[in-house]
Amino acid sequence: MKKSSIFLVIVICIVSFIVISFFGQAVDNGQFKTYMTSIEITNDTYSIAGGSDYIVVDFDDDEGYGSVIVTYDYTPDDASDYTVQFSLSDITYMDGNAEHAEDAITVSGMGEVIFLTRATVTLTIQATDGGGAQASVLIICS
Amino acid sequence: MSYLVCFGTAAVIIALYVVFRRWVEKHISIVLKVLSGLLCVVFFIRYFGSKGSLLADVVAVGTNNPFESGFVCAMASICVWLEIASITVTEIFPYFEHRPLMHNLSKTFCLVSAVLNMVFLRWTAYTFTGSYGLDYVSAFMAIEVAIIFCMSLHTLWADKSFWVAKGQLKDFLVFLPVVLVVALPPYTLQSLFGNMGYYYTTSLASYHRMYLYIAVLVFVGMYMLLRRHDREFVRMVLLFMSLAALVSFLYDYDFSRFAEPSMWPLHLCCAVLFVLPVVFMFRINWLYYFTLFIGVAGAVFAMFVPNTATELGALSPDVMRFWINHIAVFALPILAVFCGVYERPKVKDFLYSLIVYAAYFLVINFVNAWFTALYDTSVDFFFTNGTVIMSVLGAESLKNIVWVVHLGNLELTFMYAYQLIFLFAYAALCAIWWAVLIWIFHAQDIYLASEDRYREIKVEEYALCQKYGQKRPGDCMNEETKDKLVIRDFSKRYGRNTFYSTHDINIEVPAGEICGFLGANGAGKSTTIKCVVGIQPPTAGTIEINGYDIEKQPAEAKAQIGYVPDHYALYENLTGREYINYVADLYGISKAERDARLDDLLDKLTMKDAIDARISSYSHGMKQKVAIMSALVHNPKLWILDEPLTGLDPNSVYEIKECMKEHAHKDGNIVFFSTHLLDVAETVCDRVLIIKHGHIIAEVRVADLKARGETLEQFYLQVIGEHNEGHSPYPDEDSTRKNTSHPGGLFFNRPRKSKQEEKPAEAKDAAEN
Amino acid sequence: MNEFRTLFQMQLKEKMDISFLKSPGRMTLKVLQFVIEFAVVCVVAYVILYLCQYFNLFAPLGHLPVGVMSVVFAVMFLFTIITCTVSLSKNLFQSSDNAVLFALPASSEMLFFSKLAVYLISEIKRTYLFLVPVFIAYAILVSLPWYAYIWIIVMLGIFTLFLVLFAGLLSIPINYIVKFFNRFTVAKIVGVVVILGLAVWFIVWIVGIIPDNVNLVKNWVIITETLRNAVSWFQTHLYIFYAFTMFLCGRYEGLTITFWTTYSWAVLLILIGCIAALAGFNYLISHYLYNRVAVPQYTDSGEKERKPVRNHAHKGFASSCIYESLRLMRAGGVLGSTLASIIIIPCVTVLINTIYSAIATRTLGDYMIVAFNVMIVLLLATSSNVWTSSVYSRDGESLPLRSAMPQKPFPMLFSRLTYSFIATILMVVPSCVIFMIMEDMATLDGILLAIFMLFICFGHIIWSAEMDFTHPRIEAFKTSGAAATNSNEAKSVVLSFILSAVALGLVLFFLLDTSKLPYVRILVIAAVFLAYRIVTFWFKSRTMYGFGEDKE
Repeated sequence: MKKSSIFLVIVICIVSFIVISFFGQAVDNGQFKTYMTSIEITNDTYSIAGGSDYIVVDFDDDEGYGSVIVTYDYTPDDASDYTVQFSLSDITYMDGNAEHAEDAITVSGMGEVIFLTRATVTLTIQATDGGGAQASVLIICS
Repeated sequence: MSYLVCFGTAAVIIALYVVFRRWVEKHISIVLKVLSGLLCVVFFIRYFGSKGSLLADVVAVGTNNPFESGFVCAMASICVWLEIASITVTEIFPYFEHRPLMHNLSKTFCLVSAVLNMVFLRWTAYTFTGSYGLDYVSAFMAIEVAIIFCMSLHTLWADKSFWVAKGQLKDFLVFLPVVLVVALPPYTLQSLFGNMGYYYTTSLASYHRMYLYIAVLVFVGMYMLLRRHDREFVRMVLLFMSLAALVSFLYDYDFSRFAEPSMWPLHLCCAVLFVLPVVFMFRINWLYYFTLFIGVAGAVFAMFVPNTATELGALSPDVMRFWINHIAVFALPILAVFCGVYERPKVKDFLYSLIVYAAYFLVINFVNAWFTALYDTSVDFFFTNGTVIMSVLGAESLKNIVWVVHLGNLELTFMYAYQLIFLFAYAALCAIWWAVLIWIFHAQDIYLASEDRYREIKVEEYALCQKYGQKRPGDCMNEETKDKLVIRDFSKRYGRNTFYSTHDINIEVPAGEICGFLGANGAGKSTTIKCVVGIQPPTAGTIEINGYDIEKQPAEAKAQIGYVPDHYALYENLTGREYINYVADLYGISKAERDARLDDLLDKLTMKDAIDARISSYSHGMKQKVAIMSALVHNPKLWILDEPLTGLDPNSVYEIKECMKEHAHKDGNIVFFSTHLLDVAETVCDRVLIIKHGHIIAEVRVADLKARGETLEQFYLQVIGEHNEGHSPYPDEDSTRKNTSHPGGLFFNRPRKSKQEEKPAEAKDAAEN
Repeated sequence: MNEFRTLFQMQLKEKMDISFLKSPGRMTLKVLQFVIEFAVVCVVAYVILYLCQYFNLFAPLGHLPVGVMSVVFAVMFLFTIITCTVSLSKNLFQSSDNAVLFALPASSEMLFFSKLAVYLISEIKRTYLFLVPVFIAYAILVSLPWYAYIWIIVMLGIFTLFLVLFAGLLSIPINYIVKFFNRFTVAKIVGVVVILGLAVWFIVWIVGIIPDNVNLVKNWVIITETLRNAVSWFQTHLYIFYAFTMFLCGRYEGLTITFWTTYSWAVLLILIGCIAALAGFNYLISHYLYNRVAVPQYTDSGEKERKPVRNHAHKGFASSCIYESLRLMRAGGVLGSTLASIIIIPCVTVLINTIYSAIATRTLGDYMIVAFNVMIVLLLATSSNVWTSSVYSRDGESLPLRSAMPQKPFPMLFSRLTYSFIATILMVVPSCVIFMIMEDMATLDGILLAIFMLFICFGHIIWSAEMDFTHPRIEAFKTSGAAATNSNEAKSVVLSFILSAVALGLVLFFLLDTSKLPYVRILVIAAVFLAYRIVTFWFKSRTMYGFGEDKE
């Protein structure tokens, strides 16, 4: 068997997984919708006595950024719509500068928070199915 | 009343013919052309004078049936169909009247059609006029029928027989259905059978695919039917098909439509449909290549993305019209080039077609803009002025890039960005289509070459049987060369070489003889042997083994031969026994026979211990012995060995020599072998041939040499030396060979034996003396 | 040096067609062809790397770390070293021209290095067609400076020298191992069973770690995290590849890349040192061992006692089928690759269907699964049969012998394909059975699908064989035993890709179509295709068959 054939087979396998996942996946039409009741953040956190949990992120001076992927779990497991929305609030910068770029701290649709400068921020995860389930966590990047 | 007009017209024509018969017969060709021209004009006026046929709305002789009876409706449908077919045949008949097919169609089909139409004239006229009264449409229909009747009657009168001659029947029966199918009006199937329901005929749905298959079948079927006919015949058929398609396309056109320019048929495929009959009638290369490149590409694209309304039935007239139009534009130009009516396109033809396309494009864009501004309605010929293609490609923003030109008080708007992209993208598509065409031409060439070769083979087989009497292909053809190896006028040239490796070799080896074939390296020994055993085909001459020609009866001839090659390349992965069994199976040797023969050979050649080992582990001599055993296992009539003794030990040489002698003296077999070893040849051979530079330069019986007290070595060296003085190494084809004599009456350069004449025995004696 | 140059030139002319060097026109065409191939690979690699960067697969901020290229490099290195070692081993020790070369007045190490040099030329060509374009694509993507391109091109050339020398060194023990296995059949069988067993175990292990529910959309974060961790692990534990990749592509400092640090020169020195050491080792080993190992042994000593075997008689066509299949099975490489395909294709089917089963699909997804299964199985099966495009030419000098046999061309040519047909059935049918079970398909539909795939494969085999007998390449097989370049094989490979893609399209189209009996329809299409190929094969065997000379 030629090398090019093996390579092509591997590529086709990967492409097929992606295509089937994106276009062939079963869709719930909402008739028997199960709403998310709660969301729980599953990252390792620290606790302040009497306060909320927080996540600590190291800022890498060499790379020039710090990042963390916030993972979560939701209940029930068979929720019809498992998509969530991430948002940031209460940003406090630690470098003492008055002005910062808007994208100094960003969060992606997959829950990755990227800090281009040292700061603390509150991340909120909210279910989009209208059930109202949400969770928040403080993230400190130092 | 229409009957009166019909019979009256017929009577007038017949009367004129009778009165001016001599003059008419003398100028029959002109008369026929005038009549067909008159028919054309009458048909044109009648066809566009009515607003299409009422049959276009009829579904399965039920819904919208204008008659009370379904039978009458069906007959009217059929008659209209036959009339259109016979009109089209009659119109082109004068230009091809010398073709038997045209004659037969005219006198049989057109006559029958005319008679039927005469009978049902009242109802067929009604389908176009909507009344039973006489108006110019029904009158002209009557005149048409009369003209067809008279012209076909004349053909019948000229031929004196209604029936088609036996030799012309096949063409007639094959092409009559073609005529009927091609001339089918778009509404006939619906009016007779219904429209098969409202199924999608777009988006590659089942019925869309059905039409695509039909398009391919039409092309392939017509190609198979037409490829064996001459150019003019093909041109005639294509002209008929293009005219019939054009008539079908215009089924619902009337004069009022032509007064409305936005309804003109200026789309590319429609325009090409008008061009095709012109191209087949007159030889206009640049116009033809425009249809081949630009038209065909457009038709293919349109067939895959048809713009028929999806709610129409599969057999509805509009859908049928669409497909008739596009199948004609797709198939006819390609058939023209494949069947040789037009030459295969060259680069300049493609460039000319692009120029014509560019001109058409410019005109169409101007017309679109002008008519849009003039009539305040969107005119979108060739889809260059609308958003159809833009929306498919998701590029609707292009419609906003416009250029406005003021012409009088009209504002002409050009979507120039979109139109420029369209222009070049379409040209690129046509270039791709040309590349595909080149590939198809290449495939066609290979196919035609193979087909020619296949026909040659069949002809040769037939000729062989004819030549040698009522023999079956497997029988020995030539009794005269039975029990002999006969090579006549054999020449061989490899590939594209200009020189011949062997030239006019004549050899005859009778039964029971061992014949040696001597010569230097590259003299032509192996070439001769390879052609005798069938590995190479001779360039000229014949080779017969035991009465079987090696070229014409290869399997039978090879069954007579046992061959030992010169290069010991056997099947290395088999054991010796497996290889011999394989060969024995191919020669059909029974198990008992091969057991006995193999045991005997294994003893003689002392191979018993090694025969079950793989050939790849054998030494040189062992491989040679296996080759010898495989050549002898079927006791061949002719045993050929190509330098069999090279590199063998003395024991093996002795064993093989003994085998050769035994084989020749048993059952009148022949042994023919080439060698460099003169002493071996001297002890084993009855006769020796010497070859040099592809010519047989000497032939001697060993017994004669011995009688003279001369050794073969002395003779060989002398002959080679003399030949070096007298002859050039590469004689050209036309040179005759020189006969040089040698004391002792030996042959040099045996004279050429032609196939017609046999060299008499006296000539042989004269040469010897 | 003169000896070396003569040996090198002689062997180079034999192994490669370098006549284009004499003709400016042909040379221009060759260069153009090379540039186009280079560009194509470069573009494909660029697209893949760009997508990885765009989707933040390996790092955030649209960044593509060097670690990814080190994984690519490691994989390509592994593939290359295996193929290099196997080819070099054959070339150095089993080539039929050794018997002639050793008779020439040249030392064994001179001969060894001349062969290495010839192989180096072909390996450099492969490097510059596959490895270099990938790195150039990376360089374009991350906007390396202009001198980086030259650096990459030169350094990968030097690296190829390292590869060839390394493979040359490895080839000697490999050759001993091969000889050991050839001598002791039991060991060979055990070895094959062990390797196949490992392959099957590996696939079973992978199947085991696939989760029950695969959802790319939902688990995207986990997937990217896993990938990044894998790259980090690779950088740490297989540092040597990471180091070399940094040497090639520069070192990241923050988000900028730095070239030519002290580090790079150190790596370069090490590389040159390794090359020198390898060259030295190769010299020593070739000086003492090469001439003992390389001369082929073929004479049967006659000492081995063999049990007498009976003669067997068969009918003509059946006999051809049996013996031609036997020849092919015993020929080097064919049986092994066939067996590997027979094992691997069903295993791949199990693997991909395990993943497909874990995806919750709707009807469209189910149809896609069927279509992709068909495509992958067909691609693997037809690629395994590409060798049929030289099924007749590989007989070399013994091929014209068949023309001397009293058998018509069609049965003679067709019988040689029996082995391929049987092998294909053994590849495709088990895969279909596995697929039917795993995807819970109706039995009749599964049978029809299996027959459809078999027809396509048979059509491909017949078409490839037809290419061979209409345009034979006997000369190449006569001398080197395996054609260096064979346009028929290239065409057969392209044909296998096209047929697989068309099969995918057909299956998906007819399944999505609302018409009835989709499997029957595609079967009819495949049957028409096969019938057409058989008729064309028969027709051309009657009219075009002639094994006198190679045809262009």
